[in-house]
Amino acid sequence: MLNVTAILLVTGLIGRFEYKKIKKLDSKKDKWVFVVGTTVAATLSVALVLGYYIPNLSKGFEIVYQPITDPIVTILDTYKSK
Amino acid sequence: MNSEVKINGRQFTILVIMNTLGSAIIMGPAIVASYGRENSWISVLIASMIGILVVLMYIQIFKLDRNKDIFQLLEKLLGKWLGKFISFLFVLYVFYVVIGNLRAMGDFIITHILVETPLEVMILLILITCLIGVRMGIEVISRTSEVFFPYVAIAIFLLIAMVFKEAEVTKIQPILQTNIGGMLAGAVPLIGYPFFELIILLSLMKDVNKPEKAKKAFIIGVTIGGFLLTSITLMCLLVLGVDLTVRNTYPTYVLGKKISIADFVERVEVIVAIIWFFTIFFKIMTIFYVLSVGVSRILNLKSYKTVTVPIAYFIIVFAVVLAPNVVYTSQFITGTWIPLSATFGLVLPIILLVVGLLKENKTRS
Repeated sequence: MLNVTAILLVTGLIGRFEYKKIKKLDSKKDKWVFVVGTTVAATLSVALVLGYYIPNLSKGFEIVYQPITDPIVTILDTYKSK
Repeated sequence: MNSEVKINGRQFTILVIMNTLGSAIIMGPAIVASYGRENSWISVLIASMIGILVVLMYIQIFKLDRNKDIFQLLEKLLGKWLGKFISFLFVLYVFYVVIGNLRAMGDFIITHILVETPLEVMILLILITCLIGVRMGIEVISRTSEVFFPYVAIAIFLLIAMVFKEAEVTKIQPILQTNIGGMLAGAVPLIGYPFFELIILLSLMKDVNKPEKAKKAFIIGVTIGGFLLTSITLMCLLVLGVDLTVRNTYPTYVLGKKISIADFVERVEVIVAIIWFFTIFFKIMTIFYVLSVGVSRILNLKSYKTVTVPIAYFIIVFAVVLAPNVVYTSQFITGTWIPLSATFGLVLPIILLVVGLLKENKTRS
């Protein structure tokens, strides 16, 4: 619980200081992207701390590229030292 | 956005060298040696030569429009929506390179230096430093790299010079007589890691004050980087031998342990850590910068700094869950990473080049 509180506190502090700077840009889009982005990112961090499942990018790429990877690995493995 | 930002040719060369060495300087020899064995230094040489050819292709893409980075070029050549979609995929690739390098650095520190420290803390500390650099801009990153590069160069020179007396030529013999297929196979993972990753630096070429110098700097940078990688791999083989190089995840670090001066100065492997921390730190920072610029281009933001903080959060989370262990990382580099990096480092540039040249011809006619 302490970790979650720390994440939220740090995010709140960063958000406050950063938002002031983004306000000066005078761009509604920048403000929205920052607020939504930081909220989603902080939520993910909290989920990680609480031990929820976070998708692994490596696994995703592995699945997508498997049809190409398998033949390459088969060829390369014939030369690999055991 | 960032129109006044300018770096000079020398700074760009240093960034290219840092990006070429990156984490490959410490993990590369083991990966290559597992295929090429005694001839694996030649595998690195072959990979470097292909790397130079690949960079020549990137320079041709740069020539298509010298005032646009790769994200703007994608939109210009492929149309708004397809361009944005490919930009998104490219950003995903860049994101993966950042988290991969960050995780490699974290893994190394918790394996060899701070063994009791949690990975998350290490990743957080490294990323905070990088975040500060990224927010300062590419000018500051380049100038800082210029300041620190002599230390890297001196440390590499010292490492090679101090282990030289331990070198035995018999350890790399027979040269080019057996396992020629393995030697060629060893070059394959190294082309993807790190040479195809240099496509990311194409985004910084327009920031170099003189475009002619940018082209020269790119080629010089990749040549020096390739030469240093070859030298380090050769030293690993000459000093440690093939078996020790293959069995260690970080053979260059083990190479540092062999330093012994008059039985008095011993175990100065920190020299290797100095080289590596600087190279990978600048690699992470540069790529993180390109990532932020890419995301801000896709979302049409006024400043790339808007997205740096949220991206930093994402990087930490995904770097922690990236791989269960170092063995998985090595397998990923010699497996999925080959076609993945080829997609963005070879196929995408070829498509861009063909479309660009076709459009140019159409305009002329």
